[in-house]
Amino acid sequence: MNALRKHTDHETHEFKELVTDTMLLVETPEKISFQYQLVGPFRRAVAYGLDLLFSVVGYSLVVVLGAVFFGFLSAWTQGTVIASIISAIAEISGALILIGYFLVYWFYGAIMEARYNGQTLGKMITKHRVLSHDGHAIDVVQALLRNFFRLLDLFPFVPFPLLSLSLGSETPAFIPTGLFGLATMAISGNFRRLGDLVAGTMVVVDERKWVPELASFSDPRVEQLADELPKGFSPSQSMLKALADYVDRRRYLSPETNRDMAKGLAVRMLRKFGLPADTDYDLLLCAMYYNAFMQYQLQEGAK
Amino acid sequence: MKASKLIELRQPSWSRLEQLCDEFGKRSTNKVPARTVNEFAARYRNACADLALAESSHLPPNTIEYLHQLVARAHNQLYRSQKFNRYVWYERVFVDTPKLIFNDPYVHIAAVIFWGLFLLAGWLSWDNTLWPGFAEQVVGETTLDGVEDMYTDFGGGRSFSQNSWMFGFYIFNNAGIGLQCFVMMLFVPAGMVTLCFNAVYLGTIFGYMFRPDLADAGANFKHFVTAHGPFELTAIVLSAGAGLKIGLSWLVARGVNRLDALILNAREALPIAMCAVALFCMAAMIEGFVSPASDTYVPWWAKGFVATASSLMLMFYLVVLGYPRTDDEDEDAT
Repeated sequence: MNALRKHTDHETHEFKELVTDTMLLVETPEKISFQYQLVGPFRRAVAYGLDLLFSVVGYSLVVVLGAVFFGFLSAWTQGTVIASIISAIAEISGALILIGYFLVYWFYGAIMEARYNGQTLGKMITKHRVLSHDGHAIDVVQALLRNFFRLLDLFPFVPFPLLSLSLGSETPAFIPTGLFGLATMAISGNFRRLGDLVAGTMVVVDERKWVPELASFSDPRVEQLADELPKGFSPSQSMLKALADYVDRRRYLSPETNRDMAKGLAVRMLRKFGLPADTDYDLLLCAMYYNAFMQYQLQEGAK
Repeated sequence: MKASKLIELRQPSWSRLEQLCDEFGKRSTNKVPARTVNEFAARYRNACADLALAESSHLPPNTIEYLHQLVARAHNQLYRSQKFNRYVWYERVFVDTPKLIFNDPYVHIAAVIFWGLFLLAGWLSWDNTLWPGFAEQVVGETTLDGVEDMYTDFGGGRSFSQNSWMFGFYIFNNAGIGLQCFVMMLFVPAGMVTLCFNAVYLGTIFGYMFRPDLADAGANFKHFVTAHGPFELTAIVLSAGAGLKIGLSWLVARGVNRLDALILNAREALPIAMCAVALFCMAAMIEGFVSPASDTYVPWWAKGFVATASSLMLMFYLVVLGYPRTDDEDEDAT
């Protein structure tokens, strides 16, 4: 409910009960309120892992392969102009490699997010996007800040003796645990890590969904029963939601379970409509759904 | 209109908007033809209207959920991140940032702490009478001996490829440490310990190496540190000051919501930190190529000249460009 702190005006008030704390309500300049789905820590960890693979690991691979390639090339073209050019490059290669590593380590995420509208390569794969906390796109300053402060989110670093044993070094290798970030995400609301808090950003799902279709009924009895229902009855908003949710899920469940689920609403509705008590509960709800969405006109503004 | 009919009618438009979103997402720059942009905007407005209709009338929840997602996606593409603007950046780097640094109280505090501790430790370690054995107690004898050994036989210049490797290493290491210091300052005590430790450590080594009894090593040390000193020490102060600004902003919020104060101050602190990174890089260039050159190539007065020139450049940038002008006040007043 933290997300709603800034949206407590009466306009958005009616949606309040519909929004859970994994969703964020945003009002656009077009005066439309819509929801973003926020991304939790563990899905974001996947994106970060992919980014590490593309940035630091990928860069190291490129450097090694490049060194091998240039080594072969210079051996192959020995004595020509190309070989002397390569040896000149080799003179400054140390600086190039280390500066490149510095840039990749500190600036990869920031440059990607600033350039590609809040997405790094990892986030493109996992369909996440970084946004400013007001729902707008982030700018360069925010992108830099949230990526610099990732260092703090990875704290505390704990010694990991196994790694240093395998590498044969004296001092233990320190590995990041990410507990600071996890703890901050848990208490800050909107799943914001320290970097997000400092930069004023959040991460949302930016995914393509399939266009939803209304349920279709192969059973002709649904239409028959729908005609028998009283014409003047219009279900409330919450009942419509219950009907739609039920009909969406009923095809995944067994007839017995459907009967049990439908029973609570159906028994009351049968009494209200004055229909025989032995009518199939499932069938009744389907008929009500059919009437509401496929038979009758939409009712605008009904609460 | 029936709900089923409405959905059927609007679905092609929604699918087309999805398609346009994909198209916009693939292109990084604004190379989309104007007609497509117009179409996108129109379909986005339609989708917004559909969402409003869906919420106020009785559409199934999965349709509403879908429309939320669709509008959110289109919104992300419509309000994209800003393009790189050269003129704005020139103004940021040469007009706004110097003023920001010159007027920033946290940079002043960091400067006083760093230079105060640096000079104090340097003096205590150099003098060695007021607090005998200060240097050994602070840094440890092995480190002192190591530093001394390093600079005793440090006459010969390095090869060019070694120099360029070290240049890269100085950028990676020093600028990285500067950024770390900046980030750590979010938790002021942790950052302060880092800053004070570095000030005392550096000051002690400087004081020790300038002792008169270390003739050879001392001279070499002086040769090495002179040229890049101004840039590097200023860069340390700037990154600590920028960090301190962020770290204190949420502790001393001055009546603003703590989170908002944090965001606001971080926005102002970032240019200072980036300035520090730039200074670290310039210092690394001098440290890599000028500082290790032997006496025959680059005599000490030349290194002194480099140090003076870089100090003057810093003065110009921070004081001349940063000094508050009268026309700024006019601008603020209007």
